Amino acid sequence: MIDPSLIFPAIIDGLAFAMLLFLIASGFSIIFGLLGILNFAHGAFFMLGAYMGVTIFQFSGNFVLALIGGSLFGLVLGMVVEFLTLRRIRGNPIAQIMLTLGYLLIFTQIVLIIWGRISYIFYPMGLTGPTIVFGYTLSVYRVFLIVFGLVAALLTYVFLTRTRLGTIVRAGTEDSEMVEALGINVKRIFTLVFGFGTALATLGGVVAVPWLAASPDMGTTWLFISLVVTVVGGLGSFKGAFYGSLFIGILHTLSEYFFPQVTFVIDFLAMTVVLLLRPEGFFGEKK
Amino acid sequence: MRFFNRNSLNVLTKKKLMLLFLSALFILPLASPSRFYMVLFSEVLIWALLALSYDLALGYTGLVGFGHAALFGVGAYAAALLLRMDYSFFLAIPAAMLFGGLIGAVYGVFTRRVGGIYYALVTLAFSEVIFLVFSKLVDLSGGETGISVPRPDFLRSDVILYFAIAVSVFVVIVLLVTVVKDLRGGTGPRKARIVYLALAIAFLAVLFFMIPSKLSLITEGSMRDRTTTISTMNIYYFLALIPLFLCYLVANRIVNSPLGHIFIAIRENEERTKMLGYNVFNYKILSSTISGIFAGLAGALYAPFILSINPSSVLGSTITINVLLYSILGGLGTLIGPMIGAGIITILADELTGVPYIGQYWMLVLGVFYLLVILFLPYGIVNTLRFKGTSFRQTLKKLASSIRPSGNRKTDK
Repeated sequence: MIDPSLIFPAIIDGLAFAMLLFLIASGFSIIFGLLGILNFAHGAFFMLGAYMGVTIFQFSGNFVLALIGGSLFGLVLGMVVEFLTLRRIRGNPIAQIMLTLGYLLIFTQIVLIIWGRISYIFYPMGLTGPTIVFGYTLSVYRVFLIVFGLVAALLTYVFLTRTRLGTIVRAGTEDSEMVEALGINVKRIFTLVFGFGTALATLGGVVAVPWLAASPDMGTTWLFISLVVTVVGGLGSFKGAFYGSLFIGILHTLSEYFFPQVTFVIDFLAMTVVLLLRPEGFFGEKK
Repeated sequence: MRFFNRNSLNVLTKKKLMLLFLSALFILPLASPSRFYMVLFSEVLIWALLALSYDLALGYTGLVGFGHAALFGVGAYAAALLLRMDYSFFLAIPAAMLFGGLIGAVYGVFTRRVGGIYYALVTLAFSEVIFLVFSKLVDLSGGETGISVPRPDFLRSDVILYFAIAVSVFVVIVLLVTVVKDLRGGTGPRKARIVYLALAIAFLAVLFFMIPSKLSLITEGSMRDRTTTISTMNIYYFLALIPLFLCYLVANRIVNSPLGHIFIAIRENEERTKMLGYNVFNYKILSSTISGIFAGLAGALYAPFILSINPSSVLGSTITINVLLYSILGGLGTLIGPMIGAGIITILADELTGVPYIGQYWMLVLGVFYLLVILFLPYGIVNTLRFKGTSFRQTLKKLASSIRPSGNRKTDK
């Protein structure tokens, strides 16, 4: 039933998928950790990033430009959303969830109005076609995704642990009132971090297009899967987002390869089981 | 709007106004000009029942669950499958309530392990699992195309017509009695009495004009007149209204009983309730189960109403999102609020599609509407009206100060 020659390609695909998951889930997790917001619009940001990437690539034909444009767009969008709306309802978690759900709805509609119901895909120069690794034929783009994701993870890690801003973010995750008491403008940090998390999601959206294409139902699908990843890894934990992505990415792809009838079911089952056995996730902290 | 402040509307008058509103609901089919609106109103009633069930768990016990779609969808599927096997509708309804209640009980058991945001996520995941399992079991659920649901037999008879007439006669008698009593010497503030009297008399006048014309159409008109009249009354309306009415009475009784007060105590301060000696876990299971029973009933009413269901239309997360929106818009923990929210959103969504130019963007308009509601009415319509301000302006002021960002307050409630 399980074809052994498929295991290696499945794991490579799983790793590539995990890197996309990491890009969306890390922002989701950092935002939850610092702001305490369960951002239901995160999948929609991912989707908007994908479509922005498509449009920029159509006009310029330059993949790097699409990556930069997509992330800048996310940064600005996230900061605007936080500054104009989320900030007003701090301390009302149900309203926050509802508000971000509203954004999911609105962004999906905007995508449907601007880009329509069809899905888009583009192929960056030099990253298409097959390559041979250890005697297996693999897609170049998926190998690129793994490298890209690892670099992004490393950079985010360095940002969080080695810079002043990153230290403030980590401190804020522990106790944001204390950080405020130390004379740091936490509200501004909140806006910045929300923008940063959104930028990670839109960047993930742009790199996802050449493999998975951009479609209007992405917002919900990726929201659910990033929820699963962050919950399994531990809500609010950066490390958890990384290992959670690896775990769910590989689990998801293996089930897709070998047991297609349980795909997605197994993801949500994993989430349910983790929540019931260890609600704080693998790397989350017990409250 | 000083006229309608808290003090002038005493309990007695409130009850009378409620009676008036209810009579209006029951007589609506006799006065309705077209079938279209009756279908819309029936849908509103079903969503109102679902919103009511959600309010018991979320609004009163504080269980923030995101899995309400499963309760509704399982009820809908239970009823649909039984009806397809030619079982009576009166068997399908309790079966749906049983399944809804079972899943509600499972949600309640989850609270033993997880709370707060984690409870929300585990219910979401559980309901997604149920949705996916149903989607993949094509033989059972019909997959993407779904299954058609037969209408229960008794709905095709004229019974409902006689029922409607009986109800209207009853309502007329009740209204007349209250009006006569009030005229002969009622109590309460004068203004409120005048309002009630005026409304009741206007209402009776409308009835005296509407009912005879309808009745003459049925008794003297041709067979065709007769069938169209009955069909404009939309039989289904009563089938939704009566359970909703009964459930509201039950829910209202529960939340005003000692049991309801324990639910509220759990919502307000779980630790303290535990310290007072209550077994919080059991009460949460109970609340969640009751909520599930009502939601299952709503599902059972929905399936034969819409005539065809598929997993994403009854089990999809859209249901949960919608019911959350109804509750937020109307006001959590008020029972009546979420029902009003369901009415506003369902009717608005329906009307928006017909508007030229913006009609095709109605989802977008609705989305913006949601955002505005959440930003400016985060406690819902009914809660806003119930703020203890004596005037409308003061209420607004209080509201404005309550939604202003208050530093960095992390809430782990």
